[in-house]
Amino acid sequence: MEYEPVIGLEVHVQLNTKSKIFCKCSTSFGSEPNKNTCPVCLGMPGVLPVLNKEVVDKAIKVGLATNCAISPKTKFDRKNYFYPDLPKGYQISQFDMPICKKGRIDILLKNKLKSIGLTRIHMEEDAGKLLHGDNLGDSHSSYVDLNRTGVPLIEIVSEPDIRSAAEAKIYLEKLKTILEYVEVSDCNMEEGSIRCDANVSIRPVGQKEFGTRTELKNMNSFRFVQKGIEHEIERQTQVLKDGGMVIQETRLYDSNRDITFPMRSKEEAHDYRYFPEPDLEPVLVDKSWIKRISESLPELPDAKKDRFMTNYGLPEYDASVITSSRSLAHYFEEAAKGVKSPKTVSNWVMGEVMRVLKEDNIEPDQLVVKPVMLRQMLELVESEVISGKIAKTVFEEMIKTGDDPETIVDKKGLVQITDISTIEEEVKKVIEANPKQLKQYKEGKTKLLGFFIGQVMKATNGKANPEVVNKILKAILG
Amino acid sequence: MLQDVEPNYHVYLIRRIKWLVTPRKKRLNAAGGQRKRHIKVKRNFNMKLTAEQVRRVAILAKLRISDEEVEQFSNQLSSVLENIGQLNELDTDAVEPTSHSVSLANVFRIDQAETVFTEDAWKENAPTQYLGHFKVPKIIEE
Repeated sequence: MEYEPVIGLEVHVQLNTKSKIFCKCSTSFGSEPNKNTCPVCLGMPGVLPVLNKEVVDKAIKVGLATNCAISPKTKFDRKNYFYPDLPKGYQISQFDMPICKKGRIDILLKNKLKSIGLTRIHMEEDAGKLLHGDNLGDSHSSYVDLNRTGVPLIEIVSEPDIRSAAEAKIYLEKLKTILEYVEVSDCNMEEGSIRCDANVSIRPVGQKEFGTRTELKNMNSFRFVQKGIEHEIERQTQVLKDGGMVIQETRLYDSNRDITFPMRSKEEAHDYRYFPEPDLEPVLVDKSWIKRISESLPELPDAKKDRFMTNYGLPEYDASVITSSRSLAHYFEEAAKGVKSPKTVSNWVMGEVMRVLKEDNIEPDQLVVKPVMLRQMLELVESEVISGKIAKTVFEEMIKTGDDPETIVDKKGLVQITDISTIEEEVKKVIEANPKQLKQYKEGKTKLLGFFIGQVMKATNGKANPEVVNKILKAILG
Repeated sequence: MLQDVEPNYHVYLIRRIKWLVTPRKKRLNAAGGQRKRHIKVKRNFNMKLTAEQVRRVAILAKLRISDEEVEQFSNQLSSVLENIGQLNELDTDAVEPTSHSVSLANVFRIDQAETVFTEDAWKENAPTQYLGHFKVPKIIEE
């Protein structure tokens, strides 16, 4: 029997506010343990939380950027459980009245648009960090750092609309792009600013009802999310094929061994006993508030992609790759200013530029080759001062030296040879040096034209204008 | 910004609560012995809590209780529930649920970070600590 996976994702995003959600402690990462704490986030008796307005602003921002309805009235609730990373014995979260509901994120899947529904987005506080045994002191103890306790989070819950592990990764990448555009989070995976849990189930193709799902945790990169889900789908399929039943449980992904295993938990199922947080007043969001936030939104990835397709005539694939990063899109636009062929710019950005960014692990604005330099170089190609082939050399040289393209072309003598008599001379030399190939060519092996062009280019260190070479060769060879 | 609340609602609530805390005999007298019962009972709280329920609550609250205490608490908790359960006699169909007893909304602080503890004040409440961390018994469950 063929099975179809059904996947929903829960993504926790740390917001980049200066202070925590309910107190004025700093949210900075990497402070000395427990330095960023106060009686409120330590859960001392008698303290009162006060909501950080910036958190609500940012949650609304994400809601608007993902086509959500913003709730006119929203409130906080207590989620009760005991764990040492949670000093109060409850997490302040949102239960039945989240700030955003019913959103949508569009992803590009095999060149087709697919909408992934969002069930809700809610605000909550992060918990502390635990170190176990051998990592710090003795192996009979655990160690608690509460710096992260109270750092604002939003949880973005998707509908079970995702149908493969690869799709899950594309969704996450798109979500990250949106979050980066609206500047609500550092989106730093290593520091855990984006964390993802996946609900995975499978069902026979054509069946409407969902199968029993498992929840996958502990996947700390998008690649691991994909691998973890892939593995879980395989595992569930095997269980069903063996005539077994999938048990609803939480499983952890181990990236070293590439397996998922059930989380050890007490037989007592969680009962969070949610109830309205009596220490916080409800939040009422009126139209003017929403208007203010929506006016602060930048051009979003989808809109930018459409504009790049219309204004620059880029193919959808190019447009979506380039707009997947706001700074890369900016780089492209700067480089494409007044350029006749934006597609050439896009080829360079998606090729050489992205290669260097990846190799050096840097952001577009850190690249030595500024957009204007790329543009100048492409202008040199366009005005036939240098050949497209030489342009690669110029680009490498720009990366190395930071000089502008004209200086490099002058210094290295890379100006293209277009002078007919010079090229003619080179062509004659090449033909004389290769009588065997000439004979074969005359006998009808016209494919050898490429060989001759290559030899001429080699003889001129790639500086000859290939078109001119082509023309002259054809004329001489007949 | 203050939440728009129907002003009469408070009056209504206060009257209701006064009525509820008045002994039944007095209430009946006040209503002339033939008060019209337009209030419907939504849930029956007269049911006694089972020992199993009490044990579950104890586990959730991380309390260790003896068998005698289970019996004792199931009686006591049942009567507390029953008492509170009287609120269910109120007809709240037309009343918007409130999550807070004070009719305030939108109380915020601005996003400014400050160091609250100078020195290591957090340690003062830590029975055991090690290298800046609170030290706790090993947590087995991940």
